[in-house]
Amino acid sequence: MTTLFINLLAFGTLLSSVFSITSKNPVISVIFLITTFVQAAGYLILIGINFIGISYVVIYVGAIAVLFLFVIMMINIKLTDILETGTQYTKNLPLAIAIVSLFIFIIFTIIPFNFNNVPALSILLDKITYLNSILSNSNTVSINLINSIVNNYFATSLSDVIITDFQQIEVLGHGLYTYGAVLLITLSVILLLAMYATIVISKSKKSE
Amino acid sequence: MIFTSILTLIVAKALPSLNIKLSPIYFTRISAIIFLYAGVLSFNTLYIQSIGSGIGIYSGLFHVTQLTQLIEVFLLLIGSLILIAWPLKQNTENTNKILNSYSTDYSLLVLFSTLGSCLLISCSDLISMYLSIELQSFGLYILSTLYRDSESSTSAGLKYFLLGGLSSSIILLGSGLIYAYTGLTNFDAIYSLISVCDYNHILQGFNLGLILIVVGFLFKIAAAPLHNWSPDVYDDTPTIVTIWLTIIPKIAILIFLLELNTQIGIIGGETKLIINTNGYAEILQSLNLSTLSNLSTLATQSLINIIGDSSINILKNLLLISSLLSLVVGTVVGLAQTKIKRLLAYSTISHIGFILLALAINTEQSIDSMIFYIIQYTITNLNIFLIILALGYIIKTYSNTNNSSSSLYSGEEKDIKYISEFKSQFFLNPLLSLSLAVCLFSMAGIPPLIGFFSKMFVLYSAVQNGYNFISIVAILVSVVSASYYLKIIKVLHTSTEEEDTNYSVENESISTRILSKNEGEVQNTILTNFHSYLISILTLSILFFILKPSLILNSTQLLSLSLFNF
Repeated sequence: MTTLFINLLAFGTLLSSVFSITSKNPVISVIFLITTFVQAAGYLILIGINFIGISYVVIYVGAIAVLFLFVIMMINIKLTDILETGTQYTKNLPLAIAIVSLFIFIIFTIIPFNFNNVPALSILLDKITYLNSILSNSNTVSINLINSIVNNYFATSLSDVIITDFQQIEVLGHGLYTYGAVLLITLSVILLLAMYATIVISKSKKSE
Repeated sequence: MIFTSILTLIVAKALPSLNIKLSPIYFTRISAIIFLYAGVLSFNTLYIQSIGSGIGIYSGLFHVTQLTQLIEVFLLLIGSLILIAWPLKQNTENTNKILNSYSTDYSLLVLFSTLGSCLLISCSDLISMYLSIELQSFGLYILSTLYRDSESSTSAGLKYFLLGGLSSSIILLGSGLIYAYTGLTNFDAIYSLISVCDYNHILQGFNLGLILIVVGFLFKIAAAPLHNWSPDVYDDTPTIVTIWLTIIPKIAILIFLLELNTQIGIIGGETKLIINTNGYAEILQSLNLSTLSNLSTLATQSLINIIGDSSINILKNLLLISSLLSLVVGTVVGLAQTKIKRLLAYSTISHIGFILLALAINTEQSIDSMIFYIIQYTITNLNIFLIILALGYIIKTYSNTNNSSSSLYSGEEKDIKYISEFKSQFFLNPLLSLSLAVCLFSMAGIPPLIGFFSKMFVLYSAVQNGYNFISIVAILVSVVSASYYLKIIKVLHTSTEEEDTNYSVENESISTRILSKNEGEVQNTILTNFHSYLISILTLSILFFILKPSLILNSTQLLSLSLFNF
């Protein structure tokens, strides 16, 4: 049941992100963006990464996306410009499909198709992996081995979740302030740079 | 050392909010001094006895070795030299303000970006690698959009940002794959895992992640199949930004790739970091076989190793393919350019091809030649850009004062865009154009200059290890590239007919006065003393390298030995 729900959420995330790119009206696209974030947060929480999921909701949905929505409502973009760009997307569609399919082919000759263990698709994907291994005459790991690896992977991550579920924030904080203190400092420098950069770029010249 | 530079940087950040009244020319000077000071500090760490095989600092997230420290010193030194190139402008108040507001931002952003590259050189963890590459390139994106009044600079910045973001996400995908398969982020742990690991699927996943990471980094240094952004970006940004974009991030990324490659190469020598033939590997292998088509000249031993084992070293082939393509693309496309910075961008691509060739061979000698090539190329490139800046200041300033048009030009208008603008500069600024000619000859690889030796070392190590085909290609390509360097020199030394004599006489007198450093008399000095001094020093070091080559050569050799033998 949970895996089905996870798959639904992942699929919904992909779908709404595609909609948020392709929708003509910017307000609707921002709303799709919000749904993308919410679904991603739900996905993360369901696979046991609670803190990141909650912070997704709080930061992206609560602050940034709503800010986007306000800004877009205020600046009143002309719809005609956006409609023109909408036609430009489809112009490069064959190229995009070609590149993506090549990339996916390369990736999936190495990573097996059922790496993520989607139960509804796994039977089909097993077949595809099998066919692929026949066609490219490769000795990829046999399907049973793959399944055992995938299941094993999930089992171990489950035990991880059980241990860390109690004190996820504590663990994060502990890691971040002792082991990865320098990472925290570097991140803060990047954040400082981001703040400075927005000031530099958007500063008007007349103020000097 | 690194932490000190963080501290100085934050102090420097706090400065403009404290005192805006401080003359902004001081900012570039102060940050140049900061760079020098940080360089001295990191030079000091060489005296620590235990640095021999490297120390992991900050809980193993960074790994300091002699190589990283020396390269860091070099990086900081070059950074401080670039900052010198800002013009001293005291003539008009308007230009003063605009230029100098740019210069303060420039120096701060440069500090951020340099911090990132210093961290990148010494990082030894996937997370710290990603953070430092982000810090470095984020600074660069902002730097290229710095002149936000000019449309071309903004578009270049946007292009750079989008493609850089793409390559960063490729790097992140690669790191994620490696983590998903091995469960490790520390490089040392990954090395020791793959040196004992026999499971094919783990190695395959690791290889895929490694390929993606290396492809992302090749994207960032604009190696050949992924180079398309670089001429546009370099051409559209102002020269003072381009000089930074071409030099500093490339050194850092190349040194990082060097460490990655040597470590994995050492492991590969023992246990054959291989991938069995399927799919992608087959493509690579066929390419490999076509690349080394004249395998017959190889020693049969290595031939058996390559073909008989039916296993290949992915990373090496990736680097070799990229190097071959960069060599060819960088020169052949570079022939058709009319803009000076596009041409220099393509020449950068072809030089990157040489460096990647040396990197891919991965023996002690080739690493030696690679470090030497990087140092040589940095010096020469820096000098060329400094001269272009200087010529740009001189030419554009006087044409502007002659026309008595608006004195309110942004920095971008003073750049030289086309090669034809160099026309007959030899008769106006003889010393500058002579030194430019020396630099270009050095890049083309004319024997007594420094560029010849670096190319010779790379080719020597390539031939010695049996990479005959690619070295033939490299030789041919460097001959071809010499033609477009010669084209610039020809333009420099031929005179134009329609030259206004009055203007040229005035220009000549002032430029000679600048070069003879009579600054007190010249009312609106453009070049600083130090700028011209720097150009002359760099040119002389390129010219007279042959008289005392032991300094650089010994140090690079020691560095490459320290990388392999500790």
